Amino acid sequence: MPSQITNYQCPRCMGPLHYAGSSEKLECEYCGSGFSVQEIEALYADANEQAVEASLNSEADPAAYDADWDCDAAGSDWGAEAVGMKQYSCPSCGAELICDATTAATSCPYCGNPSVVPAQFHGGLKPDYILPFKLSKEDAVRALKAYYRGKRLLPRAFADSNHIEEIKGVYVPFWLFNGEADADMHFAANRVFTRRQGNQQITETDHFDVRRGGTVTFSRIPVDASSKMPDSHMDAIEPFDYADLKPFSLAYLPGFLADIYDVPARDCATRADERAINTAERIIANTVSGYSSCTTTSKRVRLRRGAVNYALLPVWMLSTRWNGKSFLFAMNGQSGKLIGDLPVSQGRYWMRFASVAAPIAALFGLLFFL
Amino acid sequence: MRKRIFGLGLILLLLLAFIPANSAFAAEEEAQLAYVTDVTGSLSDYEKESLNRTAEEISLRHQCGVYIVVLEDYYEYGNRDIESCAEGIYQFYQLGFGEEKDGVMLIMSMAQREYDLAAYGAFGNYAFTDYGKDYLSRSFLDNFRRDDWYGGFQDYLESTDQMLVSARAGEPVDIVIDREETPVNPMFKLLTALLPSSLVAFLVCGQEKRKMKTAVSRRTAEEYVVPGSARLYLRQDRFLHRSRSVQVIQNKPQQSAGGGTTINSGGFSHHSGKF
Repeated sequence: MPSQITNYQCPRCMGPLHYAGSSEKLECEYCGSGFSVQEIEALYADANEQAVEASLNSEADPAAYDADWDCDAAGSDWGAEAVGMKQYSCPSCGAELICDATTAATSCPYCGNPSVVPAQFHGGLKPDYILPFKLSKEDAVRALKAYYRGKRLLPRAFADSNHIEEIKGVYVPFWLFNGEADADMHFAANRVFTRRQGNQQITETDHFDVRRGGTVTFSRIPVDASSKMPDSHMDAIEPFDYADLKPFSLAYLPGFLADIYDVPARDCATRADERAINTAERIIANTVSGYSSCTTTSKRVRLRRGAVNYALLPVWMLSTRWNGKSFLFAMNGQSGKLIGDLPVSQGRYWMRFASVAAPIAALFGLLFFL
Repeated sequence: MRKRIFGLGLILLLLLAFIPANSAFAAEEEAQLAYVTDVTGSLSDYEKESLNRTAEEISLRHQCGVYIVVLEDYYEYGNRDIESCAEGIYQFYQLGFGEEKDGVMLIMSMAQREYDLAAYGAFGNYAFTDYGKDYLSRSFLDNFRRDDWYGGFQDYLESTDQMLVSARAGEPVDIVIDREETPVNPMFKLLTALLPSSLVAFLVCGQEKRKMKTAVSRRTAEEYVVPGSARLYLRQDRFLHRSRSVQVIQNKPQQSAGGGTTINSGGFSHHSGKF
C-alpha cells in the first residue's frame, strides 16, 4: 500500500536527504552523496503520484481500521479541532504523524526523517515558484547573536542566558501580486519670493494648480498567505531577490518545514493594493518639483490588477523565551536579513539616558556657573 | 589730492596762527602742534597756557598724547567731515607718542558746532574704547552747550587722565564697567542646563528603542516597481494668481554689540557729534 508521505532517501544508502542551499543539491546525511533536484524529481515522480493517490483514497474511506476490540470508549471525538488536523504514517519508521492541515513538509519526531506530503500540493494548491534556502540553520543562529550585538537597551540576562527554544526553516506561502497603478493627482503648489524695499518686507506668492498623471508597474509584491505567520515579521524581512526563483519542485522541501496557504489570494489582495497605491502616489508626487510648498488636494489611483503567483519563500523562524514571554525572530532564508522585537531593560534605558544627558548638562552647567 | 590741499592750507594757517607752547618743538624743523590749539580765540592766553601744561603733563606721564584743536570751520581745509579733518591734522603733525603714535584728540569746529574724539595707536585705541569715548564726551558736552569752553576742556583733560590711568592698569573704560549684570536665578540656570540635555537624551534613547522593534508592517512597495516603468502621461502646471503681503520692519533700538574699539582702515577710532 503506498504511503501518503514521501521520504526522500539516498539512492545509494537509503539515508535521509536534505536540500542544502550552499550546494543547491539534496545531500545525504550519512554517505554525503549529493543529487540534483532534477535527478531526485525523476526518481520520485512515481512515489509522489502514489502518495497523492493514497491520500485521496484515504479521504474517500476515512475508517481504515477494522476494530475487533471495543474501542468506542477510548478517547473522544476531536470535534472542531479535527478540521485543522491531518494524520500520516512515517514511511521510514511507521510512526503516526499528526500535523496541521496546512503542513506540506515536516520531519518525523521519532526517526527525524524529513517527510513531504505531496497531496497537499495536489490540484490547485501547487505553488508556481519556490525560492530555495541559501542560508543554513547555523547562519540563522549566527545572525541572531549578531542581532543582539550593539543593542544597548537589551537586558544583559536576555543575551547571556538566552537559549533558542526552537529554530525551523520554513517555506512560507506567499502570493505575488503583479499589476499596474494609474495615478491622477492634483496639487496646490506655490512659490514664495521675498524682497526688502525700504522698511518694508514684501512677500509675493505665486499659486499654481499642478496636475500629474502617470503609471507605475509592479512585479511580484509579496503578501504572506499563511495565517500562522505574523504579517509584520514577513513584511520586515523583505525584499527577496526573485532572480533565484525556481519552478516549484517537492525536491527542494526535504529538511525544511513547508506550509501551504490558508489565506486566499483575494483576502491578501487588500495589503498588496495598499502598498501599490501608496508607492504610486509617492512616485507621482515626487515628480512635482521647483515649488516652495506642495499639498495634495485630490488623488485617484486605479489599479490594473494582473496575474497572481503562488510561491514558497524561505524563512528561518527562531523563537526564544525569557521571563515567561516568547520572542519570535524571522530571518530571510535568502538574504539573511533578521528581524524581531527585543525586550527593553528599563534600568539600562535610564542608565543610557543619564550617560547621554549628564555630560551635556555638565557642559551647560560649566558655561552657566563658571 | 583734497588731502594735499587741506594739508597746505592748514600748514599755512596753523603755522601762522600758532606758536607752539613747547619751545622744544619750535626749534625743530618739522611742523609742530601744541597740545592745545585754538584758532578761534575761544580761550584766553592764560586758559590756553594752563590747559596746554595740563595736557602735556598727562601726555608725558602716560606716554600718550592728549590734544585739543579748536577750528572755525573744517570745510575751509577741504575736508568733507570732521573725522577726516581730525585724521589729517593728526597725521600731518605726526602727533602721538611712541612708535605707535598713541594719542587722543578732541577737535571742534565752531561753525558747525561739531566735535570729534579721535584716538590713534595701539594704546590710544585700547585706552579710548567706543564706550570710553562716549563716556568722555559726556564729561564736556554739558559745558560746551553753555559755551563754557575752558570748563569743558578742563573736564575733558581730567576724564582723559582718569581713563589713561585705568587703561595703564589694564582696565580701560569699557562697557563692562558700566554694565551691572542682572543676577540670574540659579534654578533657571539649572533648568536651562537640564532641558536641552534631557531632550538630546530622549532623542538618542528613542532612536535606540526603535532599533529594538524591527518587526514592522510595510506600507509601500518601492522594491517591486519594475525599473523604468514609472511613466508620466500628464504634466500640467497652471499659474492661478499672485498674492502679495507687505510687512513693515520695525527698527530695533540700537543695542551695544559689546565692548572694544571700532578702528577704521586708517588706524583711527572716532566718536563725533554736535555740541
